Amino acid sequence: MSTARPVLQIEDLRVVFSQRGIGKRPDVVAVDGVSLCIEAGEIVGLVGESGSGKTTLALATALLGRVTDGRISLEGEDIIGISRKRMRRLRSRIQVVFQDPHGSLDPRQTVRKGLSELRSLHPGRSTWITDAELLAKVGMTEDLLDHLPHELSGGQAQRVSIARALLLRPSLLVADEPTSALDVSVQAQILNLMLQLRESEKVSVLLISHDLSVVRNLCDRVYVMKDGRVVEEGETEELLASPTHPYTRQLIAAIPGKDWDRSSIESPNGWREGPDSP
Amino acid sequence: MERRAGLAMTFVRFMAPKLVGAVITLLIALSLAFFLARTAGDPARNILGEFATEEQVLEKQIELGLDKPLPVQFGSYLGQLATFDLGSSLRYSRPNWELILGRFPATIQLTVAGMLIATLIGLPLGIVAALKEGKVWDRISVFVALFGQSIPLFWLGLMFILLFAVAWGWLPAGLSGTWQHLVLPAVTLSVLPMARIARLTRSSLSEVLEETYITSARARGLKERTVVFTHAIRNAALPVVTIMGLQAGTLLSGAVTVEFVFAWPGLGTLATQAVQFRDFSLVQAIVIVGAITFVVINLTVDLLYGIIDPRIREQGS
Amino acid sequence: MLGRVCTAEVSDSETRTIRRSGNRSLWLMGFPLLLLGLLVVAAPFLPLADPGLQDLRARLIPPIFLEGGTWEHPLGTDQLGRDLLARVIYGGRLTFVIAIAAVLVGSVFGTLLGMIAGYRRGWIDTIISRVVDAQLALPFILLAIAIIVSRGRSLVVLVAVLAIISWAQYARVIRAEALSLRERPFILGLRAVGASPIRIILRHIFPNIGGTVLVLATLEVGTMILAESALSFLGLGVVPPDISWGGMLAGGREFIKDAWWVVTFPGIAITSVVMSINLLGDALRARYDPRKRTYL
Repeated sequence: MSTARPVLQIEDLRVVFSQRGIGKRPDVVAVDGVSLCIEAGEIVGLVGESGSGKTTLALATALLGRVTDGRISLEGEDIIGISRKRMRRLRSRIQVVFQDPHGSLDPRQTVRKGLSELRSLHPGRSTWITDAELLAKVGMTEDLLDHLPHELSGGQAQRVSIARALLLRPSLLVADEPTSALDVSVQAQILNLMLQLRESEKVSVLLISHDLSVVRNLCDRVYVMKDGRVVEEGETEELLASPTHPYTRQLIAAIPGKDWDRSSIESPNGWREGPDSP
Repeated sequence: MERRAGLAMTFVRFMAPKLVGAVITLLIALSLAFFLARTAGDPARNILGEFATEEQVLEKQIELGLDKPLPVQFGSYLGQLATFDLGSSLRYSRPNWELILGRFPATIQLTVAGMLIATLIGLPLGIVAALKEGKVWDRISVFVALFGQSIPLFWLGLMFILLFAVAWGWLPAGLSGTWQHLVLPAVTLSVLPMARIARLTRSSLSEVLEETYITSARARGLKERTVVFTHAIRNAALPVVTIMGLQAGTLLSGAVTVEFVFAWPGLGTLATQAVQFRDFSLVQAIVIVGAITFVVINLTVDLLYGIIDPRIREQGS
Repeated sequence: MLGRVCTAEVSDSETRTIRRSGNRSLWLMGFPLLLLGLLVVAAPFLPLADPGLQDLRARLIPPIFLEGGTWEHPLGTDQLGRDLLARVIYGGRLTFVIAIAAVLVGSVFGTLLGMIAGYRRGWIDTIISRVVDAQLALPFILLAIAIIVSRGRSLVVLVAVLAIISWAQYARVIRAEALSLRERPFILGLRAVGASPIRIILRHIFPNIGGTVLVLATLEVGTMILAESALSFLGLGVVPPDISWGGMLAGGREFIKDAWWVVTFPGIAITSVVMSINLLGDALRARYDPRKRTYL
């Protein structure tokens, strides 16, 4: 462990959904005792199939979901069970990028209006950059500022979402399947952008994906989740080279092509899948 | 055997919350009826009319128990309901339930006839419209739907009387007795539910027809008629059954004006008469019976739903 | 009952059929209504007879196209010798005012409560939904009768009754819309930046359901006109000498054998106006329904 505090530390997190109604129905344990740690500047992958609990975990991390039991701390501060006021202040430090790029933007709000709303919500944290500079950071020009979301392409909308997240200078970016709703050719651009931002903005990323090939290219470390538990974790290269859990092997087998590199990103195999249900 | 028990169990599991919900809904509805009618209003004054003296009003208030605080009134109202006591009519000096029971069959007869006509015409119209989208029958059904939802039923009744009774003398203008008496009010009452059934059948069926399983049934070389009648209509039936249940409820509302127009001796006429004679107790009793009828009809629809839709039956497991 | 198919929804195929006719139909539908609105507003400045003026020598004069009709009374007169054309136009004034006032009150309450129920969920949703269910379980005309009988007849009571009838419909539809919106990522994202529920409801949920509210309100004006006419017809609505279309029907009913025109013209007015409103509502829906809007 390095001397700096980890950006995110999750200990023994449990999320249980109880089903109401008459007659006994078993509770659904979506996340079952997960521990996870992200150091400053790290990009960490969280892999698993639909229903493995990874989205529930992501929402809990971003203070948007239910937490039944366990501890989550952000840069050493506990964020479970704190007051609303403190929570509101803390919110800017974790930002989320969702799968559906258009769904992530209010359809009735131009890019500019959306950004100015964010600025009014966090006046202290958002003065460091102008709208134009911000868009430049995600590879866009300012002439898109007055566009409505439906006038943007999927890739552009996702860039705007990332820009919105960056505006508040978060320490952690939770990216839930940020590329799986995009065209194959655009996916690589967005992934490259994330790599770039890690360098320039010193932001840590929790990347959630069902697809090991995305994670392989981007992440320093990987957690593999199945049925609400972490079944394996490790440095990306190491884990891919010598997986110990059979489920991990299965996921690796699903990667298209053995000699995977960035050029094979065109291969659509395994990239397209339905939305991950929590 | 075990499977059967399981099915029964899931059915109970499906119905029990609906039953509880229906009872709660009914309770709230009855409370709403009470509070909307009582708070800040003075039934005594309204019953007696504006020429009554203060003393008479006070006397009436005491007679009706209106001098007591509202929660006490509400309590005795609920107490009466719990013992199925609907009070007595001020005008007829007879128990309200007797009066209501006496008129109920006529209203049932009328609404059932109306619903039957609505279904017999609305359903085929909707089916034909969905199968021939954009053709003449489609346009006719869209127009019927629009027309039926836009016309005041009681006015349509008046127009029917004008044409069929006054001008041509084919059918009686009012009252009941023979089947001829039933025709005009039943047809009048059927127009609104017919419109809704036709509209919903059309949209529901045309949506189902675009589903993959229909395409694949066609691809398997099934006859178009088989596809439509065995696959599509069964799946399109679900929303239609729902709307029919809801319509049965609105029919009750429509019946009030239609009965009034045709002097049909049902609950609606009883209600309008009760209004004319300021028979507050009777009006309230009719509202209560109306709400109970509506909730029972909807519960029955839910039951039918559970039987028709296999997805709901299997959801419990 | 809330979870059921929303009756106010249109299928894709229906929308397609409507949309085919495009924006032109929107104007086509809106224009007659606009014209009528102007006519009704401008009534006092038009060369019309006094709608309340009784002339017992001129009772039940037939309309101009029948034998005995005069240009003095183009649509004939009623049982008290009042000019029907003037009464139909003036009656429209009050009918519109009542319907629109009821829709405004009902839509504000219904939309607000629907948004709160759908967005906040939990106990508040349970309460609101239950009340909506219960309200829809009461046959509306009987409920109206119960209220009016105990409160007496007046314009305020009439508008209040109609608003009470309509709010539940809004609450039901808007709740469903808010419920689906709240799960959209952009709402989650706003929560993630600490936007307050009030801000989210007013600034983000409302603009995104504005189209639905508009469509619903348009259609509801028609429903309210029908409801008002039914109540007035039963003698529970507008108090004479005020004129509304329903009230005219009630008055003319007794003379139907001798003078068909007295009940016919107000009814034609109601039916054609409500029909135009329904057409306009459908055209608006095809255009504004957010669920039908596709990303480009």
